Amino acid sequence: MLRLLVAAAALLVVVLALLAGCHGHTSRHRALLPRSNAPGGGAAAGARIADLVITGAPAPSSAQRLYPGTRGDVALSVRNPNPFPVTLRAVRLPAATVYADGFADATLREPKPDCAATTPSRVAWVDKDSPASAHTFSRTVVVGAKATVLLIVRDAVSMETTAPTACAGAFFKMPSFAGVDAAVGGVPAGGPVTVTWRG
Amino acid sequence: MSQADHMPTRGRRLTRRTKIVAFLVGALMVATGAAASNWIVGLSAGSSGEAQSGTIANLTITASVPGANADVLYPGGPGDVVISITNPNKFPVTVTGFNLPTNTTYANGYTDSALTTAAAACSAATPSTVSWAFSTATSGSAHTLTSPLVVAATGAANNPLVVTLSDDAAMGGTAPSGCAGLWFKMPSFTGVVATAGGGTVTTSPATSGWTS
Repeated sequence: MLRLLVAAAALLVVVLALLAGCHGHTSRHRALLPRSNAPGGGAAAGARIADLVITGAPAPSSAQRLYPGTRGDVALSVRNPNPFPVTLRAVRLPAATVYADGFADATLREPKPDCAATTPSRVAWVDKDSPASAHTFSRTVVVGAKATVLLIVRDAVSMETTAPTACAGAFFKMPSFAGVDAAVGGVPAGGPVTVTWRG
Repeated sequence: MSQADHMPTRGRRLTRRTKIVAFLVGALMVATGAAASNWIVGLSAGSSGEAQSGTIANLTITASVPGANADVLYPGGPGDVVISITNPNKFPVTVTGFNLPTNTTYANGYTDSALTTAAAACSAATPSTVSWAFSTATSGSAHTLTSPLVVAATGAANNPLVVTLSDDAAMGGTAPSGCAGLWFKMPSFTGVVATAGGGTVTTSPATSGWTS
């Protein structure tokens, strides 16, 4: 039992040290580098922070499809390559004039020539009028360590009424995000997550 | 007091301590993991999402029974045609015109409004001389409606949309007498001019048509 108490006390010290380290680190460095000047001869290395990777994913059948003059859902596959969870709060969108490319297949490999960004397809992000402005999700999305989450964003995409007929029954690779608002930490919930965003 | 007498008391005290320590450690671990930190995470270049558009299904147009006030056909005169437009799509569709068969494509006559009992003396081959008004010798001629029709999405009110096409049937002056008092199944349209979307849905029944 004494061993148990000693072990618990040691764990407590470690957790307290971690807690103090996280809260005391107010600068926004991308990585915690090894501290070679630490007294006592020991050296600890923090993990580098890798970027999130967001790719298109086939939307579930319940997702709202696009029609001329309507809004539709977008499916995102958010992959966290880091060995710790990451909380995603918002995305930043590209400029208003950027349209999506249409594809004939869900894997986005077979382009539809008459439904390209240059046609234009007239498919774009909703609330795109403020380039690179942050669009906050209705709830935070926590992606577990080295995990991937399917994220459905409701009514995030619009199709203008002048969209060409060739864009019917197409899959769209949305214009790339300009950035995200994400930070280390959080408790992953798991499973597909459905959110909306505020402009 | 024997050593054995002390064991239960000691055991309970250690268990309580263990629980307290475990609670503290657990609470701190939750506290450290529950919230995001100040460490910023970036985004890989080219990150984007995927959306999907719906498919387009064709409209269905069927004959509908003219009302009591409809203009009826007589030799050399026009008459009303009543159609029912069904939109199977999940979005409204705006119809702005129709494409017609040739002016020598005639209607079959029936003795009942359900168009089930053919009138042998007034068929397309007789011919009945009943055809679409303003049709031409060329199949597929386009004719614009005097007022566009917005057919509601599937499942919504006013879908199907019943439309009276005013004076858009014509009976030739040489129509046989066997065509009197009949109902006519008009020749099939060769096409429709329609687009997805639209403004206010047209209320059923509606009146429209073409005049040229």
